[in-house]
Amino acid sequence: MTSRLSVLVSIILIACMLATRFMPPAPLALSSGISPITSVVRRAARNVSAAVNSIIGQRDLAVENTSLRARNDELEGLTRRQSAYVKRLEQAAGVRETISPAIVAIAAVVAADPTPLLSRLIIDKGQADGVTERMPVVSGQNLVGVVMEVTKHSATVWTLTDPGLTVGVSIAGKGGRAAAHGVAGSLLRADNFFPADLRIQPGDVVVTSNALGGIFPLVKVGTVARVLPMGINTLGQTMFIQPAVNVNGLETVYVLKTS
Amino acid sequence: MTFIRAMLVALLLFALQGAFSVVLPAGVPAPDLFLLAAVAVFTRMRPIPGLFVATGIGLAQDVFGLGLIGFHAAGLGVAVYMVYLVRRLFSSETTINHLLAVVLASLGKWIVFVILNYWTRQGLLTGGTFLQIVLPELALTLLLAPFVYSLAGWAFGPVSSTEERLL
Repeated sequence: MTSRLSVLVSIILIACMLATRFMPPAPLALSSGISPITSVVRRAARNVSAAVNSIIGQRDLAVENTSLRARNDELEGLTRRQSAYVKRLEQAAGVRETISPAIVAIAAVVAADPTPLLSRLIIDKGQADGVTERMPVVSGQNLVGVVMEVTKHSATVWTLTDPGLTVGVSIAGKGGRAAAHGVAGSLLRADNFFPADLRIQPGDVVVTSNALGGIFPLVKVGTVARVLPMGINTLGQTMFIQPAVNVNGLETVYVLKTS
Repeated sequence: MTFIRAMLVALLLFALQGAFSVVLPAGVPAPDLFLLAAVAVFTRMRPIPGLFVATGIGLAQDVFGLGLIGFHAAGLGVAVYMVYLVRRLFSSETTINHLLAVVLASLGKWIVFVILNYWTRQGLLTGGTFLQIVLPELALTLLLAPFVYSLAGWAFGPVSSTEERLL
């Protein structure tokens, strides 16, 4: 059987070799006869292929969309950071022009003292940046506090409402002087404001004063929140001051050279 | 009934062969369903009639494909001859044997194509053909082989017995 089949295969092979060499291609009419079927099949296959490609394309689009969104978020973040940086620089320029030509450092507030009775901030600039103790710290045009402790790369700022900090204050446009210190909460208290007969009203702007000795530039401290009536034995007026700066929301502060 | 089934399967394979060339990405050759059809038919017939039918399938491929007459006919003829040799060596009807038969059939077909290519000086096959066409086509053909075997079983009935194939 195998030999017969082998002979037959050989004959077929030889015949085919002759056919391929000498026979012309099949008439077009033969293949045209089945063209309607092939045409339908190819069209259907093309539609299937297009549908599959469409699905794959949609998946690619989704991936591309996600990638672009991520890129967009990244760029938006960059823009925000740049805007914040520009804002900081603008504020620094403002501070330099209006308060002091001697900004030592622009510092970011990196932490706050968790004790509710104290009001202290930690900034990311220290001795390495030229920050030393007793340097005033401002935000914009307003006093924030004073640097009280310094390490190589950080410093602790006692803010206006910290009971440990005393600030010389005066009423803008009216004068006078007193020493104000923080009270638990968010106010400053100025005792024995002199002169005693100065007409102080809530809402008056309170600025720094070095008349009693101090290191502060002339900047705003806050506004008068309340004035206590004078007692029999008091030498001056007592008032509570609402600080101009909410230290809880601070992100950037400016450390100034001591006046 | 068997004739109708056979025609349906032939039509389906013919349609799929055309469809694959459209659906598959450019550069990926379609699986050789004609080869699988020839093998499937051959294994269900006595060897000599099966050889003629397989050659006929190849001839039909040549006619409808507007190629050289006899090119695929010779290829499929030798391909089923390889299948015959495999079936003589391995009597069991297992998937491995089926796939081995397809691999050797494909090998036989491509050897004939190389010979005919040299004979006709057509320059159809080049050095890159093996990697670009032969291997991918064989892989896809093997992938579809179980499906075509099952389809052939439904259309043409069970494969011929060991006794028949030795006759």
